Amino acid sequence: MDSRAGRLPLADTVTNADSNQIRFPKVRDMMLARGKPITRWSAQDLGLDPADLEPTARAAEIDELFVPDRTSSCQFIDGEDGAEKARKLVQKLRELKLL
Amino acid sequence: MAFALTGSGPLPQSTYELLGGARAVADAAGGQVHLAVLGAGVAGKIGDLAAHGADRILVVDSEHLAVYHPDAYLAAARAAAEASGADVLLLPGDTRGRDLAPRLGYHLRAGIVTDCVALEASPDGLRFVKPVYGGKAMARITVRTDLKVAVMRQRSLDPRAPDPSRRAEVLNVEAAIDPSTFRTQVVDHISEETTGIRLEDAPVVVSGGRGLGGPEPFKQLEELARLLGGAVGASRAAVDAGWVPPSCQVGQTGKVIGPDLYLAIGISGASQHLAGITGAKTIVAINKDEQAPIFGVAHIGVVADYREVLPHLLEEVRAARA
Repeated sequence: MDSRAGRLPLADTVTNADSNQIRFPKVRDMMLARGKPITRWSAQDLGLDPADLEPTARAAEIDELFVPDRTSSCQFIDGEDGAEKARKLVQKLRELKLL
Repeated sequence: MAFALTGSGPLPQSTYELLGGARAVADAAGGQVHLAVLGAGVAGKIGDLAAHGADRILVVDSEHLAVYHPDAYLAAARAAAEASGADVLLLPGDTRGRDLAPRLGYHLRAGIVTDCVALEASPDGLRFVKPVYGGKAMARITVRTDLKVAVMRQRSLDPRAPDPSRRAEVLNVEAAIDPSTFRTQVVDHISEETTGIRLEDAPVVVSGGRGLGGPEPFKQLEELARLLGGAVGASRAAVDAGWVPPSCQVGQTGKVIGPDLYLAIGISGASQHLAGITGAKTIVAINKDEQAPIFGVAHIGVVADYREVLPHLLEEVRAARA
């Protein structure tokens, strides 16, 4: 792991690692939030060409969405007891050259 | 052109996977396969790349590339891309590749597709396939820009069997890498305790879930993983319960893996977990509940309490290895 320093402006991504703690708002903060200003920007305000925001301007396009054929036929291993099941499992894995 | 982001270490396994995928496309649709190797002390590492499918190898060798730094690798990647003239740039789906791809795409004005699992050569051009909706569906994607950047999920492409008769030309590429222009710098390097093989690289993963009931049974999983030459994984339930470190987590918010063999022990198979193993070639599930969703995706299933099966499984594998 690295710790880094950088010059501003800086963009940072935050992961869901458990060392990152969620900060919970206090009730007072939630009430004060109501009065806080929300700035709204249009494409024009940001100097963006509306044509660049059209679906036709997308660099990548989804041609097709499909559900793959998951022929999930699970082979169940039978046995009198755990020992036999384990033995058969190992045998099966050997057959499949996974062991 | 495929990229090998090597730093100062050996070539990552992904290099051969990318070469295999690129070779398959080139053989089907025509075109050459280039490989850009970015790192420090690269010369000795490129020997078997021609055999694995490269037609041309572009080497960017610089001490500034000894450790991954986005600004350094961006400069190197751009130099290689320009020297190559390739219109499709393939990057590995490891943290370096995923970090570099958007930067490269932006600077080259190339459309990018991330987390791809397949490349399809068609008469209309190259198409990229990636899992969406947590792996429940797949999307087939066309990139409209002339230059395309694709990040390939690890272990989704197959390396070619090496052909020692193949030859490749080697080109040394100069890249202007100026550390004074870097916008970030590493202040501290904290070495993590990583014992054994990384989860994403492991050909075998032995994974435990809530059904294990506590941290103790994971010791058996560790032994089994070691005997099989693999790594230990876990479901979110086991990680949240504190039985294993978060680095073991397999799933939507954990690691997405594609081992040859995945053993799911005491894992019910919630969809978020399954999203992490769509790439697994063979899934074996041991669970005492025959209705557990894991059996819907497993190739081999054992309906049993793991406590009855695992000790014997360990014995059998120990004996087989002896």
